[in-house]
Amino acid sequence: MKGKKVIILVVVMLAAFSYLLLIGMKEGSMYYLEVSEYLARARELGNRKVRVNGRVVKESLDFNTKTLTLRFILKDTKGNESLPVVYHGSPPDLLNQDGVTAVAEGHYDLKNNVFIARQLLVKCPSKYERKDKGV
Amino acid sequence: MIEIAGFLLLLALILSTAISLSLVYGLYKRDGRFIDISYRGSKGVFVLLSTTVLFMIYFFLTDDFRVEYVASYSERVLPVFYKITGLWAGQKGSLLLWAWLLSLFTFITIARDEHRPNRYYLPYVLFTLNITTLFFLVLLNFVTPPFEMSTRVPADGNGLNPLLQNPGMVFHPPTLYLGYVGFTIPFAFAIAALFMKDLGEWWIKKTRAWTLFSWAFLTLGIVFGGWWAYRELGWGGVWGWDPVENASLMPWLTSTAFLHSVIIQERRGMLKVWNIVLILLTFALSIFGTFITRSGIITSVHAFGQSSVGYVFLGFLAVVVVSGGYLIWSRYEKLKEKNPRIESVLSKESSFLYNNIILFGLAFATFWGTIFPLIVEAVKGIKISVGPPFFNRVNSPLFLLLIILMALCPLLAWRRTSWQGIKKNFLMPASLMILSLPILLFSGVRGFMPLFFYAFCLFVVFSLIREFYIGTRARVIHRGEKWVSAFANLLSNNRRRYGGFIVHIGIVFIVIGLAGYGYFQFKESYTMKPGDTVNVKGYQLKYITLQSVQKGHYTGIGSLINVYKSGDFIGSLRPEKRFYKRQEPTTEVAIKSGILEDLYLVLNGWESNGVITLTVVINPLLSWAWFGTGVAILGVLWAVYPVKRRVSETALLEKELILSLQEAREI
Repeated sequence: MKGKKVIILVVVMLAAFSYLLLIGMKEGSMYYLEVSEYLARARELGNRKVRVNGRVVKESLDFNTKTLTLRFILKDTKGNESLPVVYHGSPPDLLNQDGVTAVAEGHYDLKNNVFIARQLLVKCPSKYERKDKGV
Repeated sequence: MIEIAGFLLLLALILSTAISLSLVYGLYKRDGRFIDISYRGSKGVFVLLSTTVLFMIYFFLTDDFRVEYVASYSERVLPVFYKITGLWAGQKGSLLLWAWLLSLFTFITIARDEHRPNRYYLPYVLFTLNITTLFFLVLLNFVTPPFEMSTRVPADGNGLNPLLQNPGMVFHPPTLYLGYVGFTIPFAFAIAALFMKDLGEWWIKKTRAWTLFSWAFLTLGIVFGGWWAYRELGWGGVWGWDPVENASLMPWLTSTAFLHSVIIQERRGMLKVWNIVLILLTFALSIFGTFITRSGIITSVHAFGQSSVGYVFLGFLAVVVVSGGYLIWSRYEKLKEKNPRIESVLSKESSFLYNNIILFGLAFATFWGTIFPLIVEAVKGIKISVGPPFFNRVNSPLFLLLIILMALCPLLAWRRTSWQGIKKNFLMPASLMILSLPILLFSGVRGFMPLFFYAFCLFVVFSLIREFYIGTRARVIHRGEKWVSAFANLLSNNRRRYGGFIVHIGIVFIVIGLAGYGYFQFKESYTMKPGDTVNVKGYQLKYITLQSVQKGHYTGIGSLINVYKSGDFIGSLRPEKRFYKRQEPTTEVAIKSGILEDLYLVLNGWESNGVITLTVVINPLLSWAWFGTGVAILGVLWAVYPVKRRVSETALLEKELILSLQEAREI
C-alpha cells in the first residue's frame, strides 16, 4: 500500500496535465501564413483565427481618428498578392516606416472581403542592430 | 590599444586551454602541482577578462568608434550611463560580460576552497567551469570578436536603439546574466559529484548560497524585464508568453523546483538523481534560452540581431546534455541504492514532490509551447504559431495548484499527517479563506480563476500567519520570551525556513499583482482637442496642450494631461513620442502608479490642429507585483545571511570530517 497512493495521484496528475496540454494546443495554436498562402486558403479557413505575415504598403495606410480605425494593405513579401486589413485601435510605432513587415492576427470577414485584425505586430528588421554598416 | 584588448582575449583563451590540459594531466597522474597551477591559472583568466571589460568600457566612454562594436551601439551625445550599458547592448559585449562573470565566479569558488584540507572535489569543479569559460573564449576569439575594427571609422556612432534607452537597460540584462551565469557553479559541483560517484548532500550544501544567489538574480532579471516591457509599447506588456520571455522563465521554473527538492534530499536523503537532473536542466535551459534569443529561430517581439552564434550555443547545449546525461546514466545504479520511499500522500515530503511535478509540468508546457511551431514546421512544412491562449490555459491552473500547495505545505507534517492533525491545522486558515470570499466578491473580483487565485493567495497568507504565530507562541510559553523578541528569535534561529516563508509571501504579492493586471485591465481610446475632459473610471483627464521639448539627443512631443480624481487634482502626466536623430521614433508612455491601480496613458498620435488620440489604460494592483519581488528578495537575503560563526565552524569541521572519510574510502 505504502507508495501506491502517491503513484496513483501522480498518474492522475499526469493525465490531467496531458488533457490540459491538448485543450491548450487546440485553443492556442493557429496558422502562421504568408499573404499568398492565406489568400489561397481563406475560404477553407473561414472564421478561424490566423496570423498573416506581409509587407505593409505605406501609401495605403489610413487611420480614422474619429472611429480609431486603421485600414491598410498587406502585401505578400515575395509575390504581388495583397490583403486589405482593418484594425480597431491606434497604429503601432514604426508602422509607417519603409519596408516594414507586420504580422496581423485575426480572421477573414467574407462578407466585406477584409481581414479583421485583433492584434498587429510590427517587425522591423533593424530593430536592435545598426541600419547601415559603416555610416 | 584595441589590438592589446584583442590580444588579452587571445591570451585568456590560451591560458584557459592550458588549464584544461593541466587539470586533466594532474588528475590522471594524481599530481597536485599541476592542479595548483590550474588554480592560479584560473585567477589569471579572471584578471585578463577583467582588463578586457575595462578596456571595452573605456572605449565606450571615450567614443572610440574605431571599435566596430562601440560604433554600432553608441554615439557622442549618448548619456554616460547608457554608454556603459553599451557593454551589453549587443551580442559581442553580452558574451564578453558573460565570460567575465563566469571567470569572476570561478575565481571566488577557487579562492574560497583552495586552502581547505579536503578539496579533492575542486579540480573537477574547476574542470567544468573552465570548459564553459573556454567555450565563451572560443566564441569571443573566433566567432564574435568584440574588439573588431570598423572598416571605415565613422565620425559618430550609430547610437543606442531608443527602445533600449530606458532604466530597464541598466538593470534587466546584468541581473539576468548574473542569474544565468550563477547557476554554472552548482551545475559544476553536480558534475563533480557525478564524476566522483558521490551524490551525498555535500555538493548541495556547498552550493546553497550560490543557488539562492542565482535564483534571486534570475527572479530580479525576469521582473525587471517585465517592468521594462510594461513601459515599452509593442512589447506585449509585463508578460506576453513570447519565446524570449519563456526562455528566461524555463530555467527559473526548474531552479525553483531544485530549491525545493534539495530540501528533501537534505532531510530524508531522497531524490538524489532528480536533483542532479534539475540542476543540469537549469543550466541547459539557460544555454537554450541564449540559443533562442540569439538565433532568431522563433519569431519574437523582442527581436535580437540574428546570427549564427545561436547554433554554436546549440552545439554546446548538445555537449552539455549528452555528457551530463551519460554521466547520470552510468552512475544510475549507484545512485538509486537506499532511496527511501515517500510514505504518505499527505506529508511535507509528498507536498514537495507535487511541487516539483507541477513546476516541472510548467517548465515542460512552456518548452512545448515555445518549440512546437518548430516541430510542426520541420515535420509538416507548415508554419503555425502558439499564442498566449495556450500558455494561459495550461499554465494558469498549474500556477493555481502551486499556490494551493504553498498554503498546504506548512500545515502538513513530515512523513505523514493524521486526519486529526489536518483538521486541527486547516480549520483556521480554511475557514478564514471561505469567510473572505464574500469580501472578494464585494470588492469586484469576478470570474472563476481570479476568485480562486485571490482566495488561495489569502489562504497562503493565513496559513503562514498561523505558522508564525504558533512558532512564536511556543517560544513564549516554553522559554518565557516576550512576544516581540520571541518572534525575532523564531525568524533568526531557522533563517532558512522562515526566509523561505518570506519568499512565499513575496510570491503571493506578485500573484495578486499579476492577476489584477491580467484579469481586470481596462483599456479605452479617446480623441480629444485641447481643453477637453474625459471621465474614465473615476478619473477626470483634462487635455491641456501639446508640447514639444528638446532634449540632448531627441525631441519629445507630448500632450500635457491634468489628472483629477473625484474633482481633486492629483498630478500631470505627459505621454509623448520621441524623435531621435538617427533612430526611429518611439512612444513613451506616462504612468501614475498607485497602490490600488496604475493609470497608464499612451499618446497615439496628433493632428496639426492639436487634436490627439489618447489611450487610457487602468491596471489594477500591478504595483503589488513589484513590491512582492522586493519582499521575495529580502526573504532570500534572510535565508542566506551567514549564521553565527560558532555554529558554522563546527558544521564545517563536521563536513571536513565527512569529506575526509569519503576520501579515505575512495582511495
